[in-house]
Amino acid sequence: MSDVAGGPYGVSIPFRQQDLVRNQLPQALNYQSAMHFSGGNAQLLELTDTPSNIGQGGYSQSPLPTTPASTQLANPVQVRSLSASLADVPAQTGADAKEEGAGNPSVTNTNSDEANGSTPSGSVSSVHREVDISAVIAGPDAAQEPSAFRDRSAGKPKMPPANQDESELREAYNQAQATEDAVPSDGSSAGQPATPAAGDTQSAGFPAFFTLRLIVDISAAGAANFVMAGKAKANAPVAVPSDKLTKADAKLAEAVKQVTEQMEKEGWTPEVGGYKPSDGGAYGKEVEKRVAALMEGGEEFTFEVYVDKKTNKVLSIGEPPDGVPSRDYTQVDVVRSKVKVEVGTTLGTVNVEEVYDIKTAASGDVMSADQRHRLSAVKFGVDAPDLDARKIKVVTPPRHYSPVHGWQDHPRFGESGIKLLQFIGPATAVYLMLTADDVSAHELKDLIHGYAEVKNDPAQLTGWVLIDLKPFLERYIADGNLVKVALYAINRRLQLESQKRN
Amino acid sequence: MSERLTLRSFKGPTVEVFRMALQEAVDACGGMIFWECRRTRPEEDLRLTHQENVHTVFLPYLNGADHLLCRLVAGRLDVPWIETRIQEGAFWDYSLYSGLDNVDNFSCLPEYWGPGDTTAMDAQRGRPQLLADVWQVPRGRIERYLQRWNWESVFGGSTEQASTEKAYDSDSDGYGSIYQMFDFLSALGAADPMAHGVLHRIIVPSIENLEKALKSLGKA
Repeated sequence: MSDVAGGPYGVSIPFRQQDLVRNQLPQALNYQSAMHFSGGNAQLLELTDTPSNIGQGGYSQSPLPTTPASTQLANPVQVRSLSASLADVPAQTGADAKEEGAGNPSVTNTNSDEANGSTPSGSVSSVHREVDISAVIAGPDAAQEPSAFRDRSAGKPKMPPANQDESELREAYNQAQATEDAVPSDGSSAGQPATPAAGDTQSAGFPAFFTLRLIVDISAAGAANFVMAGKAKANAPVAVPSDKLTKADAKLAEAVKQVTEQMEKEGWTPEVGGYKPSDGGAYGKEVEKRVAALMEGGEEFTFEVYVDKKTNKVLSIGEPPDGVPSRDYTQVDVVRSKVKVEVGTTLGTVNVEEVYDIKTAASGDVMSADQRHRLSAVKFGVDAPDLDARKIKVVTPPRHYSPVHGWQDHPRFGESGIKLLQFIGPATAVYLMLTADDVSAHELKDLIHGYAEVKNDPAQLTGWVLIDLKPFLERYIADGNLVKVALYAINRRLQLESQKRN
Repeated sequence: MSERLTLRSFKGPTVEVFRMALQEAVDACGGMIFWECRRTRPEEDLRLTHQENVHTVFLPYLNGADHLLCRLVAGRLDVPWIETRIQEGAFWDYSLYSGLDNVDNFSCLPEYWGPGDTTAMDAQRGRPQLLADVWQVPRGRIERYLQRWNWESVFGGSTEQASTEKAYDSDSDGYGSIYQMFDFLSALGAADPMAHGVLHRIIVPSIENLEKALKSLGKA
């Protein structure tokens, strides 16, 4: 509360909420990070992590801790593991997905009970989208940090040489928080206003596991999901070109990942009835069949669509058309469409949002010019120019079954690459985009190589994040602020890993 | 399926004998065939072509039961058969069998599934003379199909840059095209069941039953 000092009676007193305690402190955006502290300690000192108004008169009279960090410190109940499996996640209803105040930087849950200081329940269904992205920013758990990472106030601060870069990332994060309202809202159809329709899977019905993803690891997919699911603004301009990662891409990629993990758990092999068919493609057939079964019933994806090459009409779905030579039709693994795809539907830019190919090749980016041409014709129309130069999204499982080597990490990237991909997002989602064009695949190779060189040097790691990783992520995440948020979180995690290794 | 197609061609028996063997194999394992009857579900899809003594079958992928059934039929007939496959829209390959036994394999792009050792690569080279002998066709009619494709020419360029060279002048498609498989099949005397096949309805037996039948056949 504020009044006008010395104001005469009868003159109205402007009333505006104000934090008297913090009025004298620097603005949040200029506030430097609490560099002598880290983890939970640093969080307590973080202005952006503090409620702007705490009680009447500018200080909290609540007997309960009020900030998420202090809540956690005062009430160190084990929260749900960040690596919770998707099976643990209840379906999120539209009602669960209610919007909270933009920019609220609280760390865990902000539904009313928890915001008042009660113990975080860890229930994912109560996690709201805006909150989730903040949860990622909470960064490493102080308890898990190496001792060298903890409170350094007793002595001279030992900041890595790249601390300036870290500050830059933190500042970027702060800016991102301040401007997150302005993020674009859709990953599809550039130039169109983002007005998710009722029942649109991109809004209320969005599965909970994607919000979980945001908690688990700030990922390219997660960030994109955040853009589309949590911050949709009617009539906001759409800045995400169609070849960028979308929530739907991640949904499909996640299904592929889930299926292949299950197959590996089962010990799947192509051997049947004691016979081992010499069909190297058996793995891919099984993957696609299971993915289609897993996603059956969803309206936006249609699997195994056979399209007439000349007219782009759908000839059949789920089975080859009768009496038509294979040369005359194109088989499409997955069509994501604006309308329900039926036999007789003519496909093209009007109704097709994306076509996908599920590949289990050793190199996920392999697509012949011939095939690119055929699939592009389905997406863009048979008369569209440069069909063999268009990008087609290819989903490649992160784990690979090879008739020669059995189950292994995708051979193209090796252990170091897989590890890196785990940091920067769900591997399949990243693969999905990587294989959209050859340039990306080469970029990833360079990225992995660079990471392998600096991964044990915290100082160089931050530089690598800024110089190498940043432009890479920018290719796939349309919103620059989200890239910054992602980079900040990734950098923290990589630093922590590096410290552990050392 | 991602431009995936598997066809099985059998060489030797007459139409009647082949159909009888198929019927018996299915019946013996608890399945059913409804000849010239339209399927009601995609997994009941059976398409057959008969061209002289070459019979070509299309069955959808059924977790391997499709493969076992064809193996069982060939085992009962003790005839050569070949499984030709278009793989992920990228290339084609085949496995050649004699009855129950896999006698040869060929792939246009064996490195597609991952780096293998020399032995594994050689196992996909294809032996034209063996194929000619088993299938009873002149070697000169089929050997030029058994060439490995150049990776760069398939995946490296545009459609204009892709190879247009054909194995034989009368072919419709050249090296680098997945549809070359149909030219190859044609050279083996097989007709494409996707274009010309007669439709039937089949309820494919379970893998367990097929496995039992194959084991007993192997012992016999």
